[in-house]
Amino acid sequence: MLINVPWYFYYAFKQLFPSNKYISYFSLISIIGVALGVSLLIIVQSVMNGFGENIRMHLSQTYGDLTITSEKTYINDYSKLREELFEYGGLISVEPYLETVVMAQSEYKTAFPIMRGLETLQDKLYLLKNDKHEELNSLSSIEKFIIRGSYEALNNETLFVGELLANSLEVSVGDSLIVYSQNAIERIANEEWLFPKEFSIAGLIRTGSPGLDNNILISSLGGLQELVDRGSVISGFNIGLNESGTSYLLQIKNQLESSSIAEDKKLIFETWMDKNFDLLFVIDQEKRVISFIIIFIILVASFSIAVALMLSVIRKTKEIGLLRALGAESWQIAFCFCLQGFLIGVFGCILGILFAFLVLENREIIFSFYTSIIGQEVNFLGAYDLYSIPVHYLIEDFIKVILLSVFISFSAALLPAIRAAKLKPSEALRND
Amino acid sequence: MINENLHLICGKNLWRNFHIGEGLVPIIKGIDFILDKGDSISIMGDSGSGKSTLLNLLSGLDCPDKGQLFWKGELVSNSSANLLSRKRRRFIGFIFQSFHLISDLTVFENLYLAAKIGVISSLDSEKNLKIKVEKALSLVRLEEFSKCSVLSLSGGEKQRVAIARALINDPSVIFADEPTGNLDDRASEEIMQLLLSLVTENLKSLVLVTHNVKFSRYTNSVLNLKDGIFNA
Repeated sequence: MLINVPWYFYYAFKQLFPSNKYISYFSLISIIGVALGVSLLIIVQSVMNGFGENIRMHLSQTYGDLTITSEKTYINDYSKLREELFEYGGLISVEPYLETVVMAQSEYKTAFPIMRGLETLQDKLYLLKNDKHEELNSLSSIEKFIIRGSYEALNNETLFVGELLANSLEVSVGDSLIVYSQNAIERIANEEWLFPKEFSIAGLIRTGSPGLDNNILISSLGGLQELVDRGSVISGFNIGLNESGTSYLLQIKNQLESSSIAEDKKLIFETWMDKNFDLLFVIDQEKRVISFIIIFIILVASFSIAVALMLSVIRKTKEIGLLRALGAESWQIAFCFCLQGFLIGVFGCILGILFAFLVLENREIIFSFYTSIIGQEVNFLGAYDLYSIPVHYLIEDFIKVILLSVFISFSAALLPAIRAAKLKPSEALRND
Repeated sequence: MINENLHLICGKNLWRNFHIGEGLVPIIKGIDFILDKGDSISIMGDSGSGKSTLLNLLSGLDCPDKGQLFWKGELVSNSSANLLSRKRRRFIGFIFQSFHLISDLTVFENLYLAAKIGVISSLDSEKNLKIKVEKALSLVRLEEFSKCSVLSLSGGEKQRVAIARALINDPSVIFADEPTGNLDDRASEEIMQLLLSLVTENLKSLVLVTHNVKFSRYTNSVLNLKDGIFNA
């Protein structure tokens, strides 16, 4: 291959890929070392991203993009506020909700779940009819979590129960639950009676978050307002945005926070990320720590590069002497060996990324093969409501891994390169 | 009095010492040396007499501890190793006893690499380099071995490749350090004839280090080195 490059590029390339064989043995070992490290980093990061992304998706779907609450427990006169919020644009839905802890009693068991009151299909149809900006498909946030029953069945006398809560209360669709509000319990202290309300179970929901599925009742907003007996109040709004993406979400949040409504009504704006900060922090940290540990694999690979190149310098001492005799300068000799390290890093990265893709795209086959070998069914994915190993590719992870690997490979070649550059030509030629 | 400006290579009072055991032993002891254009000089001497050391000093592969070395009238004995390397590219060609061919490269690539190292201007295009290599191969009659690995060549063929490499950048001087030392008599004779004819035809100067009296007679003058000094 004759390419118009300086001789040291040509020589370095020929050292790695000699003409009389496809690749030198030393180069092959070094490239495989880097490739293994790179592929492992990509695989782990992509799977961790997949888990993180799935959890984020669940969280954003469960909690909505943005929640608006008040410094006070309840927001009164919410219809006007809802209209005002729509003036700000960028919002696709402004869904009021009321949320409180209740005592739920089935025929057999008692629990203290959170009860959330949402608008029913009838409420939404009424809004549509009166041209209140809303779009029907964007409003039924609960609908995608329903695993039994239908959204149309939600009214002031019915509710939906989290799948795991239904299991622990030993109830199913068609059964009834007696629900006591927190307010009712507080009023007992004042020797007042606020009667519980009986709801019929219209369906079951599964959000995929075990903590929520074990602790949630969904009723109509009107039904819960009746139970709480505070009038037409809500706890806040679930906001849906007309664009996805974290930066857009934060932009809308900042806009709303600095608006006059926020100050007047003492509103609090929380994204789904704010609400799940701890969990998201743990996921991010987990990925960082695992990646940090795996970097050591690349460091080990870099030692194989350093050793291979050092051996090459020793093996080729006479050759280096010859190059000096032919007119090569010491920096050019050093550059040759650094370039070899760099090329090993580049080829290792390419091979590693291809291998990572191969593994990730065939992960189910590999995973089932692995479980068949160890003879155990590994079923931790159910805890995340996942039925396959999730993968999410992030271009910035790829760039980081490539830069890191090439840098480490290049650095590994520095020591042999310096040694080669320091060889005196007359001594190198005499070397035996 | 030697006038360094008149000669291709001029060494004045060259000294070179080496640490041997605990002492510092002089191997070259105040040698004066002159090589003119088209000149050919044999340096003879017993093993350990300092022939290769002198050759390294004259070719800038090693630096003298004392004395001055001039190439084309320019003082180079104080120059840095990298500057000497740059000057050597098109001034000196080497032929070694053990050939020093790069085993991972083919015959063509060995010459091509040397030609690439000798590139000093953008005028040396890839096409020109290829032509240079082909021309050098034809000089030593090895055109058909172009794509062969150097490992597959005989000793005589390897040395012919080395001769082609020494000539490829059209240097003024050829330093040949016992070029027939690893060859049989027939191959040695053939190589010497080839070397001398190419040197003469291309108006090169030659410094030949040899043990062979017969070959030394092929050169214009013979210098006998003994214990680091020339014998009269």
